[in-house]
Amino acid sequence: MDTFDLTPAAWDPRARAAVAGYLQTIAAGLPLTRRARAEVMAEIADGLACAVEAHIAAGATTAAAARLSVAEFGDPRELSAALAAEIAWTHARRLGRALVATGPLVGLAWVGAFAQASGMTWWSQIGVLMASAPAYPLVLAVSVPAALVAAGVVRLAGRPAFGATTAVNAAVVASAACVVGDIALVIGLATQPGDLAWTAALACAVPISLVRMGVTAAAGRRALLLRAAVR
Amino acid sequence: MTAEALKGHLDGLLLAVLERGPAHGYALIEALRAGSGGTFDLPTGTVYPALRRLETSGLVASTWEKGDGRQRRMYELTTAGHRHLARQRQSWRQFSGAVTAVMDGGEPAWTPST
Repeated sequence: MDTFDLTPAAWDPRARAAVAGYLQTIAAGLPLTRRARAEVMAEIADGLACAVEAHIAAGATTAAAARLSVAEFGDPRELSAALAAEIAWTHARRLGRALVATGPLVGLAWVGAFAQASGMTWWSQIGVLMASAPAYPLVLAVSVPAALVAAGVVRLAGRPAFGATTAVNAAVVASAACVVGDIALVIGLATQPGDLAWTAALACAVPISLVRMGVTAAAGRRALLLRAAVR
Repeated sequence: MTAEALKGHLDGLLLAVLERGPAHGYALIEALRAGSGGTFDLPTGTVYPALRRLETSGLVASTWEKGDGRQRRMYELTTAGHRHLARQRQSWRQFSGAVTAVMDGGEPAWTPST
């Protein structure tokens, strides 16, 4: 965990310790990438510095100003949980949208690989693809609705039909289903014996699935961690 | 007034303050305190999750600026934010007018049958 010593070096050491401790408690409750966490902490540190400066201008010592400012900001664990909730929702939306956007591309890559290997039209290969990986229709039945809910595109009266908690849960489900789907495709099809044309076609489709699987697994894990951070 | 009492109104109040021009988180909460004569004395930290929510909803946009030797995140209303604020304002006027009319004991629109 990074330390967040964002206070001016000229401050009283007790003031620096009070503000740094407050920031550290918030940071500890945010399961974000180093860059994303630093961005959140920079904003709150700036707010705290403004508060300290306001109290000093009103006549407080630096140490007293830091104590007052930290108290004024509220319970750091509550603030951390509230931030995690909002960030989790944003993350769920992005993840849902990414899955909705990339799903058809991955599907096309696989259908294209089948068409290339068999020399037949791509649309005739959709059924072959589904038959070759029996778990895939089930994966689609779970992942597509979950990704749409996470993305916030399911709307009622112009507003997202589901709240933050549902969106985050849906993002976790959608990402898990996509990972399972990619594993099913890669293991179920890539291990089948085939000729050179088949191997060449798979050489394009498998890396696409592997990249999607890795990125989705990491994003799904992040959604799980953020969900756990929302108390 | 507690954060709980303001729940549901904070987003609209922040949009109303931002209508005057771009501002950072601390300036917004200070403007709320000053504008309400100290009635809206929320924990300052409350503003940051609310601003994230408004940004995710596309009602505000943020940019980073260098201020006083520190990185500072500035927020401003988007076009959608202006539209949302106008709707919220109209809805609040209707609601508060109706509550005031009843609370102040105005002429009832109907009388209960005996």
